[in-house]
Amino acid sequence: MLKTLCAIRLRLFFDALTGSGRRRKSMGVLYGALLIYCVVVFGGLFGMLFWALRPLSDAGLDWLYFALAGILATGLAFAGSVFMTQQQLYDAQDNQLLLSLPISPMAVLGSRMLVLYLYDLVLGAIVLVPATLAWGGEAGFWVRTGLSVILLPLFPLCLSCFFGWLIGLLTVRMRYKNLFSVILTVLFLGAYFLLYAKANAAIQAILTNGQAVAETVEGVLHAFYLFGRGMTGEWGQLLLFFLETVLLFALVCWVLSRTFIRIATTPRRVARRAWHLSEVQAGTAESALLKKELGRFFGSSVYLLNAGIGALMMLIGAAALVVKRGDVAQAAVQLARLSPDLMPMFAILILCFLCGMVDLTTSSISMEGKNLWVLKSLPVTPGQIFRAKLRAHLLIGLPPLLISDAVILWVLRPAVAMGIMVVLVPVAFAVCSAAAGLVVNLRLPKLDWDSEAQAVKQSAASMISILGGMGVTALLAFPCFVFSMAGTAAVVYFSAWTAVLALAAALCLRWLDRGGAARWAAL
Amino acid sequence: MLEIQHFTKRYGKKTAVEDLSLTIGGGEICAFIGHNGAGKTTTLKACCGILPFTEGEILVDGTSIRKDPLACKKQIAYLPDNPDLYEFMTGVKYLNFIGDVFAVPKALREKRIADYAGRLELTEDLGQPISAYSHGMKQKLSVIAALLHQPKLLLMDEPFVGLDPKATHVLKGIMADLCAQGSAIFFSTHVLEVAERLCHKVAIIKSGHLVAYGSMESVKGDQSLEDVFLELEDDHA
Repeated sequence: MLKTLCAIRLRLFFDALTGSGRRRKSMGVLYGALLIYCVVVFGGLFGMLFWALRPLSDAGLDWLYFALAGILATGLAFAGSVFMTQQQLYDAQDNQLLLSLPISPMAVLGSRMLVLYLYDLVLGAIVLVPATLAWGGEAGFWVRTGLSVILLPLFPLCLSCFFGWLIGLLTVRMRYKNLFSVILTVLFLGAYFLLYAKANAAIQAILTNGQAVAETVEGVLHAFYLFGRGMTGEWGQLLLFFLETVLLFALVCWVLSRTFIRIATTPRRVARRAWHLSEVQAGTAESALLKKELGRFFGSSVYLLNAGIGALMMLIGAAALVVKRGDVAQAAVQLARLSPDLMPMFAILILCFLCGMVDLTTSSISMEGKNLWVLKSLPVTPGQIFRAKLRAHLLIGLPPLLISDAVILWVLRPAVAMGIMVVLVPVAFAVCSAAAGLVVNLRLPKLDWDSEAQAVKQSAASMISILGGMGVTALLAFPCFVFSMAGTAAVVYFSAWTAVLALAAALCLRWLDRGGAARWAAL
Repeated sequence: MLEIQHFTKRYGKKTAVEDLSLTIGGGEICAFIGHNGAGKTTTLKACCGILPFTEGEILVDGTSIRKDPLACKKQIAYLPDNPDLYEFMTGVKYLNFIGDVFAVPKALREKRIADYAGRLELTEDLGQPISAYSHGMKQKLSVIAALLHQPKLLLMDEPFVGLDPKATHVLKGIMADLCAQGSAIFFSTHVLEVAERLCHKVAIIKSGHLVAYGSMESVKGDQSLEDVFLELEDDHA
């Protein structure tokens, strides 16, 4: 039974990514290309990081190098999968169906954990493979590397399952579960970015205080000490680490299986409140559709945090810029000696990158899911529906963008023409990504999801949209630095990009008006 | 009010419904009967403009659903077999949403919500999120939402499934009231006794083909609707 359930989960997982039918092959090729892109980019980044840590060998701390690789792989895999765990394990819509069948909770859990394991495997390999390549070694070393890539992900899997279980247990009777999830995620992301920002300082600290760091790892993170020792050739230590990991995994499975039914089937407690007829308010169809879109966005922590993270980061960035305005203004003066428009150009690129991370429209069609019949049966045109989705996207994305723009202009005080570009380019980018996201989602909808994460995070549309946004930002950035643009050249360059983005947005809106309506009717 | 002319729907090479024609006038209730997978839901979804169809024509009060879906939908209300509603909304917010889309004036909206929610015993729960509703409560909310704009044509797919006996009784009363006001009702059901007692017309579909259609009396004659249905099932096997 476990084999069948795993096969179903894997099929659902890959279908969510590639879609089914005729598109499967072309989407498979696209994903292959994306995978290669990610391997090159992230592999390169981690390769450089571990290359910088190679001097640990001179200090006789070879094992610490691998222990750090293990810690980083675990951290990345944990960060990448922890927020999926709750959705995958406890919030899947087919939980009750499966539990009503003669299937053990462990088999249901096992099949769900397999998907999480695959995530951890990929994320772990992104760190471990470059780390081992940067080190190099004999044949036995590569055997140990292969074993580590396969078995190490069990460790972050245990951690994310434990946290998923803990959150599930805490929120099973909680009234404001969404709010709790949002606060927890924001805190976690804050800690993650803080660590990320201090990565360089951490590398330096490790290299200069290697012995002290080694003692800490050996004492506090003993499992990774064993892993590090094992990777340097001590097979016994490596096997001990794997044994510990497998035992921990078995323990987590046992604990989860004991409480799975209760957490997965306890009805959510809701904040019961009285209502009054005065709440009945008349409005227009357009405002009703917009309110519906915003209600869905703010009513789902998964949607809110994944599609709105860019808006949140813009606000945090703007606040940070106000606090650190003295330092930034000073840096701007220094950088202006190199190129007067360097800081405004950075600002444009960062804002475009963050606008690409506001992607409500990318999953707004998919999020209709089983509710699609409601809109299709109502006397509203596809145009009205699309406009509501676009407006919701822009209402979430534009105010933080304009606030950030205002703060940037205040702190950096760029030349007038460049200042106009700081506002225009990201706004054009935001409008274009809203329209393009809706087009992509109409072309690649994922309506048969059984957890919101499938529609928001794992669908082909969201993947294309996020990576597309990054790709356009990279295209935008590349000539700026290659040709060291400044002054009139930079203004002309960004004006041209504004025109291109506006044209792309206009083409998307035109398609939505014509082909989009037919596509909507065919859903 | 509803005129289906030579309606055909194909999914690829598979024909779900073929050459189905029927007419339901204002003030008439028509039951749509057939085994599972016969094509009832497909027909109902096409009638309310959810599903595009291959051939034929569907007219709502003389207007083609294909040519002017918006005008038709303004006169229709549809109740699906599974009431999947917006779970992030409260009951009253959902009703407000539907009221806004159909441009129901505030005073009328308040009156109808109070009336129907009272009759279906859902008033106390309208402030709760729909995610906390049971299947029956969602079904009741769908009924209230459907009646909010007093549709001229009510399309329902197995409306009694999930309703408690009292709500079933109330819904039958509401259907009769609506019919008395001149609206037409077309609904699928497996509860033949209800269809027999409530409906003026009956349409029986088998494997996508209409095998019997007409007034209740002409179709069943002296027999019960159940006997007629079972006979037709055997005849066309």
